[in-house]
Amino acid sequence: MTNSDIPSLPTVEAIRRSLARVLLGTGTALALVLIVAGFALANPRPPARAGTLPFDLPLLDGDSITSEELLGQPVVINVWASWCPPCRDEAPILSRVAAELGDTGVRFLGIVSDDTASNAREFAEKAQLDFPHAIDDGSFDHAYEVQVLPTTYVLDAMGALVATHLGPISEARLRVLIEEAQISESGP
Amino acid sequence: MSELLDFIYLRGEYVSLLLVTGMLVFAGGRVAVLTRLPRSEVGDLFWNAGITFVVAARVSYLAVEFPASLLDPLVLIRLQGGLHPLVGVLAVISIVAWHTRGEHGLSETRLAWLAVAAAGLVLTTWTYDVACLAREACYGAEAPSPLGFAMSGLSDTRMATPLVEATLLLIAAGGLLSPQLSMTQSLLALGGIAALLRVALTSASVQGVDAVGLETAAFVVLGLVVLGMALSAGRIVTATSPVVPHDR
Repeated sequence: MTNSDIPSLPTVEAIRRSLARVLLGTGTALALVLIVAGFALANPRPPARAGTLPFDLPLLDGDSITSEELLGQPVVINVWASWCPPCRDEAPILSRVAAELGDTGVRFLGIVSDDTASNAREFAEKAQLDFPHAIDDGSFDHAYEVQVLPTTYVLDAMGALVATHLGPISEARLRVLIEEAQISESGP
Repeated sequence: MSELLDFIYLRGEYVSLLLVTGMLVFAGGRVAVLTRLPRSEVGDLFWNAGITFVVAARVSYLAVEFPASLLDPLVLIRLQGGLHPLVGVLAVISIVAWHTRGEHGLSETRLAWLAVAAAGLVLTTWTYDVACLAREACYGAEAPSPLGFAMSGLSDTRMATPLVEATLLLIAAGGLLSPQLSMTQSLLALGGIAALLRVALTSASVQGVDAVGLETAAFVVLGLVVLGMALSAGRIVTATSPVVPHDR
């Protein structure tokens, strides 16, 4: 490279000033958009679905499960895959809460998405996710419009969707949603 | 072929990768102009560093988490399965060390190329953040309004963490590009701030999940070291201007 190919210092400084103004202006505009969105979209819309969408899926243990079988008690449905890092992060929380609430009438169901049965089985065993896990053939993903892994759905005893949580769920949040499902169960 | 496409699950991560590649190709020439370094060398560094980042980050992740899967090429290319970005960043630094192997210590030239690498990493972070719109994954930690807001399909309000990071990076870049600093200083400082920002926002996004640990600490150290380099670059430039010899 010769000296003539390299822009002069004053030219570069002019470009820098101009670029700095553009970046600052764009950044400020985006910040304003985010703040406005924060005020304008303060209230989450209630879940659109009134009831559980029907599904009939094979379980990892060879049995199968249908959506009708879940009616009668609050249900936590967690969609996961063994290769998904945030799913691995939240697994101990699900394991702990499921073990604790298993006797209180709250059911847990795992939906294994985009994974092999053998990998899923190995992971569920290792992570002590001691509740039923169904292998999704794509129908659950399609019906529930699963956007990301993990996703957690909480349903009340009537099968109505109480909440959808995208990404790894915290223990506190999971417990709050389960309580909401239990209250919803005893509501009108 | 369709089985392969099903397996790699052609969604967000690959769209993001394409956008990042496009951004690096687009920005390479402009970074060369701003740093007054040879355009072809900047392009080569971006290309080599980009490939090295992805391979190192993915292989290291599999080696730690799923060592048995290292022999399966299909698992290797399934990027949404996880990456160790810190290892990717360290691999990029080693590429710069190789590129400037004739230099001793933190010479002016080596710092200038580290600054170019920092620019590439910041551009990658920014583009990946904005590509959250393609991945439908702009949500972060639960946060009250107006910090968080309602997003489609969610029953709580969330901070749009990737978009917040992208916005703050734009503002930081705008502030640091003022000609009071040398270009090497500006880009290194931006790289350091990006590393610290990542830690701050990631920590806020995984509340309740025990996912903050060694990598977080390493990013904090990395951010501080790079900021230290930016200060060091300032001293060198004061003593031996211009930043990079014109006869490279």
